[in-house]
Amino acid sequence: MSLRSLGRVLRFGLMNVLRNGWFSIASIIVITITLFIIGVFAIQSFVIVGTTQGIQDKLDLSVYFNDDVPEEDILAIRTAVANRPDVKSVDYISKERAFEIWQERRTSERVKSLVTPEDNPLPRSLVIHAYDPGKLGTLAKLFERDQYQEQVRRVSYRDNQSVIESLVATARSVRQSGWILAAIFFFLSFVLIYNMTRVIILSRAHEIEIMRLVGSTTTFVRAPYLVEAAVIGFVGALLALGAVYLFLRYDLASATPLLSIAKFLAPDMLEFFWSNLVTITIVTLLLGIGSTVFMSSVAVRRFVKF
Amino acid sequence: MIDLVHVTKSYARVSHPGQRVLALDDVSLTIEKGELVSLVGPSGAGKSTLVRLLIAEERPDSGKLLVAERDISRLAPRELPYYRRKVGVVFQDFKLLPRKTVAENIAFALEVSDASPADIRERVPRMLTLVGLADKGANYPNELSGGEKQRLAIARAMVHSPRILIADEPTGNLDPGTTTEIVELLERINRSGTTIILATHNKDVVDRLRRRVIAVEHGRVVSDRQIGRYELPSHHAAVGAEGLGS
Ligand SMILES: Nc1ncnc2c1ncn2[C@@H]1O[C@H](COP(=O)(O)OP(=O)(O)OP(=O)(O)O)[C@@H](O)[C@H]1O
Ligand SMILES: [Mg+2]
Repeated sequence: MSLRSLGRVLRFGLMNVLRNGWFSIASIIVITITLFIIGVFAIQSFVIVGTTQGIQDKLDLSVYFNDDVPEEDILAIRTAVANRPDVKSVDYISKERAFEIWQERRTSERVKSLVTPEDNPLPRSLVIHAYDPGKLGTLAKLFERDQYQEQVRRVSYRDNQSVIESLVATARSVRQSGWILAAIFFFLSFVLIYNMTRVIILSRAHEIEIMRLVGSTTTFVRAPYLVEAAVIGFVGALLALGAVYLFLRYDLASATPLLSIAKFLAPDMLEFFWSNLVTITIVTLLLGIGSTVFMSSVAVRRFVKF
Repeated sequence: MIDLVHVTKSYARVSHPGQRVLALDDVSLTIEKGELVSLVGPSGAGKSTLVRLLIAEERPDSGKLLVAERDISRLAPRELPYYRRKVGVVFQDFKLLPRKTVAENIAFALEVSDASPADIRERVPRMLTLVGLADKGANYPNELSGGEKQRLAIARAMVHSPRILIADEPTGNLDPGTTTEIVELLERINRSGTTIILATHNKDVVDRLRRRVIAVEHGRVVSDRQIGRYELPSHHAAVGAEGLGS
């Protein structure tokens, strides 16, 4: 096909979008909804996965020691623990370091002033990272044994773990329902676009017949429908991107039951949206244009008899 | 120019699955370049079937269909558009695009066959002048009379300068005065060298032309005269031909 014909095919396709008014609008709406759902769920999945990964890395076991335990004893325990094959690292937090960490905390000056280097009630501790955060429980049990009862004031790790587990579980179920919803809407848009293309083709039987009689090539008859579909996919993708942005920007996720997990992730999702804008835009456009063109080409293949 | 060699064509009967209607039964004929041939016969004789075979809209069951020494029943699908540009065709129902102007209807035929804008600018007015519609270019088809619509259809059919123009009942919807107008236009186009095949029911048209007449009945050629008149061997056919649409 020559460049000239390509230009004409594009023009015919664009004209068709306008000619079909309501059909085009309806198709754009379902495509927008489909891509919007996919967009929101995909972004949420990525953010949840990213967050749990981050939390996993931060997971540790803190063993706090009584103030009367000699430092050599703590360091000896540290060496012993560090030699275990399942332990990644062990950090010793002295009273001075504990004070520094205390000062870095975001609390009021009044609370901070409760602790001074001279009057420092903060305990010394060992911070243990395991290769597998799931093993932290086993390690914690070690320090709960009688031999350490005199030395260890407190062991802490549990709270984080349960958060992680519920986050991972929710992420999984959210992703599943997201895919199911997306599949339903993909099916809906397929049915709509396929039928729309079919009805338009049948309504233009007269025009198609004339094109055939005057010696038009098949491409000329078929390609405008694909251009039309591409325009619908393109506009739908742009609208979906806008809708996803507004959804995240105004934190509408919190109001949606299925997405309520997103409540505390909303800022992360918006941040993810901005920092991956180019990729998200390209993927959405490809998905929108690709799916609509595919859907209408199935109908064109079937119904444009030439 | 055109050679039919033992051409047979049948259609499947939708109402009686498994059965077929024989539309053309072993037809052989030759049409020379520059001829103006009338194709007559009662309704259902097979005239339109012959037209559809000639524009490669249908394929024969058997036999050869040679146009300019090429067997058009063996054209590959991608060759069809190029073949159809060489054969113009008009019908009783004009087949115009109602939402395009007269000029756009002609330009459309050129646009969809990869003509250059310069070509389109040159050919559209030339075709309008040819058929006497030069001052109607901006009108829409529903603003034209029946005769003008058919002239527009002829202008569009001639836009690729085809060597053959086929007209299937072109005057079927027209009054006698307008019919004469269209027939004179076809004669004029024929004088400039285009071979014309005219399928018609119209006795006056055929008798006035005094050119070759091929009569078909039940899918067979029943007479072929160089200077023919509209007369059919079987009387029931002659009666049936009066006032029947296609
Ligand atoms: N598409 C089709 N499917 C089935 N049968 C058909 C089809 N087209 C034509 N026929 C049958 O083939 C025969 C020839 O039809 P055709 O249209 O060629 O006749 P015709 O001479 O053009 O008639 P008319 O003068 O009424 O236009 C008829 O019996 C008709 O019923
Ligand atoms: Mg007919």
